[in-house]
Amino acid sequence: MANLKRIILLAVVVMFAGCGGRAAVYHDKNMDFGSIHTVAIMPFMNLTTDAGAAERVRDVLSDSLLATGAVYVLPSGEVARGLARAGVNSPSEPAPAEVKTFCSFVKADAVITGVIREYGEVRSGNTSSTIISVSLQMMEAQSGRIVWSASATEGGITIWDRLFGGGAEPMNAITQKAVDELIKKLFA
Amino acid sequence: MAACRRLLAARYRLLVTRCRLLVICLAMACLAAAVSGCAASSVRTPPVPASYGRRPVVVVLPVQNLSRTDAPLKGIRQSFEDRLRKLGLRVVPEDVVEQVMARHRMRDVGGLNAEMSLAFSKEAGAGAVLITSLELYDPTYPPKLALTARLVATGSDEPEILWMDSTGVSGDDKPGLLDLGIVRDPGRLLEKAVGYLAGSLDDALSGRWTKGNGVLMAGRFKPNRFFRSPLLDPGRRYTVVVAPFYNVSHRSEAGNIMMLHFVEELCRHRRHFRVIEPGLIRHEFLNERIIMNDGISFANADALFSQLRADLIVTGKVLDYQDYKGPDGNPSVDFDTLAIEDNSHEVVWSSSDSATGKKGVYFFDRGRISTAHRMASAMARSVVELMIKG
Repeated sequence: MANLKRIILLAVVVMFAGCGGRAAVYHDKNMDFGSIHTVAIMPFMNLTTDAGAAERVRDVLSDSLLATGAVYVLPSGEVARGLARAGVNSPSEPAPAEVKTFCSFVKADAVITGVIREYGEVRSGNTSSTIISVSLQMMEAQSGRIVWSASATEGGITIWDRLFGGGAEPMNAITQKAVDELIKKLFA
Repeated sequence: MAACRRLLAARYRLLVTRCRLLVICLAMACLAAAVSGCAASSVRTPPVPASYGRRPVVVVLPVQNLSRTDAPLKGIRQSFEDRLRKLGLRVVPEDVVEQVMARHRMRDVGGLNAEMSLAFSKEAGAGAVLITSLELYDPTYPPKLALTARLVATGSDEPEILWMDSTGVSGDDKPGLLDLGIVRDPGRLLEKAVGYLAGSLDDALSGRWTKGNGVLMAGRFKPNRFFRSPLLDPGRRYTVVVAPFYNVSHRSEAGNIMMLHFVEELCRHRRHFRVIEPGLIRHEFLNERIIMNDGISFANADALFSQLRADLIVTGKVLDYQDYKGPDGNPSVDFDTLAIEDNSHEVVWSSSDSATGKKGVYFFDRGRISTAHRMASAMARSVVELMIKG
């Protein structure tokens, strides 16, 4: 009986270990994040099949950051102009030197780059759901080094979905949740 | 006997409790239905300022086709002319209008620039120009149609928007009892739409506020998230440039369509905004060689501020703008809005908004919206009201 209890306990621990750890975060301890007032959000790298995913997540992030009132986000048109002037080859993964040049043109204190790893519908057997997986990095203007990095995943197929079915959450809702989680990590 | 009485009393109390529960459930269902559809309040269009005269001579321009479909454009124009004549307005004959347009090589019929404003006034004797844009034309069952019209004063190098209204209708909007209210003929639907717009124009010219047919479900189409800078002063009257929205949706012309929605909604609030005629803005875009790459930049904004003497630019990005064909479907609209102010040189408003026609609909499709036009209109209205009130 005691063995059975241990096995059950171990199974529960393993199960929760699998469920947790969906997000990682890095903060540069030497960085004063209070000095960042203006941020430019670069076009995101899109690893999904949805061509509009990067654009949607970028816009939601831009609005959400502005809505916090803590930082000012440059409009995407100004970012595009700055990228053209600075001659940045790959806006989704700029080199530190490119970040410095770009920030001097647009007068930004930091840039945010990102990768959309998953966006859209996922299916497993008869069950389907929506999922988003995003990772972001912040590079500061003075040196071009990474000062913050975090990722978030929302949605996906849960045990509840498998057992009872039910409608998937709309993409907009889970995008907002993932972005909120990332912002929380940024200001943590 | 006493036990029997107690049993009856208990049964009676149970029955009363169940009845109360039923009444509460019914009341909640009615409330939800009201929230989803019945709470639609009407939208009002302001009258034409008296200083422009009550019955100007009107030029009806050819219809701008933003639907990118084969549509009876000449029929729509003719229908407008007939309606305006019936209302007692003097309409400049079509051949005279064509001659003036040819003389000045006017190709864009979606706006009025300074040159054409003066030309129509001097050469055709017109006091105003009616600009009509066809956003949607789908003759298949049930027919769907969306039209926007505005009246612009001529005779000055700064043509002023006097009136603007729009309508988006579907044949199955009001099916009625036994589907007797369904409109199957696209021609009839077109007449209905033109009739509504002509009536609205007549009200505006007569100095009356028009009770519009647009709907605003309180809170239903509020932006998902927005930023409103304290720099945006609700007590100030802004001169606004509404630039075409950057379009990344699959619907061509969605950028221009969203621009028109915002022009219309801003025009409803004359006390807070003076909206610059889109024809003048287009002219400046061409003059200054402005090409929006991923949206508007501060350099572009500066050029517009200085040339048009504006103090606010409203623009954005359209991510999705979809109508559907047939009786079953769900239109969807997804866009971001951005406002840049001249003095602070900063973004003073930013919002993202997405919705489908069934957003907030819970019972029997009550409150369902059948055209992207009506939805986008309500969403734009919500943004403008939040811009003013915060």
